[in-house]
Amino acid sequence: MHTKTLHEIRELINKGEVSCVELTKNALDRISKVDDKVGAFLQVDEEGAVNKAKEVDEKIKRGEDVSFLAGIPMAIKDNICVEGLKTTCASRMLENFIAPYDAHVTKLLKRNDAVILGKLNMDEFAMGSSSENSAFKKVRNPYDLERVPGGSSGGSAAAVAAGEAYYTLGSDTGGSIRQPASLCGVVGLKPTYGRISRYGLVAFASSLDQIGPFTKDVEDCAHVLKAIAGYDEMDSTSAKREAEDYTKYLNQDIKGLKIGIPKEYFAEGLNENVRKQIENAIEVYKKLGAEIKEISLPMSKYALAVYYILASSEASSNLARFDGIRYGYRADEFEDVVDLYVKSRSQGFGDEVKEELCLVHMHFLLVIMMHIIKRH
Amino acid sequence: MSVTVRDVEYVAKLARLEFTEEQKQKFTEDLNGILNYVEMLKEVDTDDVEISIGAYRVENALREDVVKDSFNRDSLLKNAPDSQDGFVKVPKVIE
Repeated sequence: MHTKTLHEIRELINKGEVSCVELTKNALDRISKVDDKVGAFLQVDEEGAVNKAKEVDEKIKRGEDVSFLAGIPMAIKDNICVEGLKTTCASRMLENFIAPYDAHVTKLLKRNDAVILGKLNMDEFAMGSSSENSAFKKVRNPYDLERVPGGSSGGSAAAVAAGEAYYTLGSDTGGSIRQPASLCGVVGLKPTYGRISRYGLVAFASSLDQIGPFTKDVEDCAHVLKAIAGYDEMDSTSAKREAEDYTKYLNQDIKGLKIGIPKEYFAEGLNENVRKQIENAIEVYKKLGAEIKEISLPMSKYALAVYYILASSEASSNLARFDGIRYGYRADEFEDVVDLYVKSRSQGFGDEVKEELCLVHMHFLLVIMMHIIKRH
Repeated sequence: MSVTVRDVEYVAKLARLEFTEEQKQKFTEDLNGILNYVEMLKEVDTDDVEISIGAYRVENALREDVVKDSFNRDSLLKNAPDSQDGFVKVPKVIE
């Protein structure tokens, strides 16, 4: 059962071959069987999940129309708020933080009667790309437990790959959905900026952060995206466009579609197997009638350096709120209020986060120093 | 130009963080690596490049200014490390 896709499961429910409670109990069993090894979950809400599943089963029994996602078990990255559950960002800083409200995407999932199994492990505050930087435990790649699942949404990718949830949500700032999806062999999408509201997502680098789905296939991805996209007045960068039915594009003809292949992306260091897979995909598109064209994006080599500066600058201001005053970790002993900030932040944040926070100050310090030197 | 342990101590202070000696050593090395890497941006000539703030035209999505219910104070104070009489409790900040 756990190897089936979301749309296959929907069909089984619709045919009456499986109930939502059965599905949910199966998923919970699967979690208790494999998650000791995988480490994808930080929190499992057994009671909430089973109750929701019962509710959907009753709706179906009464003959009510239910949504595509109704009654199907899923899970959410632990930097996205679900009211009443912890949102830790895999950090000691938020170890005991209970979300007082639902993120916009959570609200939409609940409106669609999704069964939320729990919260997923990640790199602390989404900083990292291996999911080894969780303050609580490492996530492992279900295909080979000695390898990393990628990150920062490693828990979201691993949970889908290990059949612990039929789909999950993650967040992507600089690859945090796309890279772990690739490493775990599942579908991951970073939607266009503005497509999905970030209200209730703990901010890392706001000009880049996006929430997106992890699924077993592209069809599932279209269904999940359709459910969580759309305008939200609580996110001022949210695009004023209604969600579309992305599933209608699934079987469209792509004859004449022009696909650009940036030559810079085939740089030194690209794994041979990966290169072969990309070339295979290009062949498939060609056969389907797409026009393949090599293009050049000559600034690509600077992207990572620019990213370092932007992401660390934005992280530094976004994480200034964690000061031990209103919520989050507060040190037990301190001398005065400044010492309270310093001790709470130093004890609450992990090394990766601290380094990121220093980087931006360091960069600006060097810029200032260089200006001073130039002037003399 | 390279970063020294003293620089790390200074920026730690700015970021309201404190480090062990071991962390200071490690961060000094790591930060030097990253800063050397981003140095490459200097070779890019941006004089005639127009400022771009993104690939898509995004306008501020302002909402109507209407009075609405806000959060319940008690539910928010549940996450406060220390509170009293409906307020967040902090150490004394004035002498």
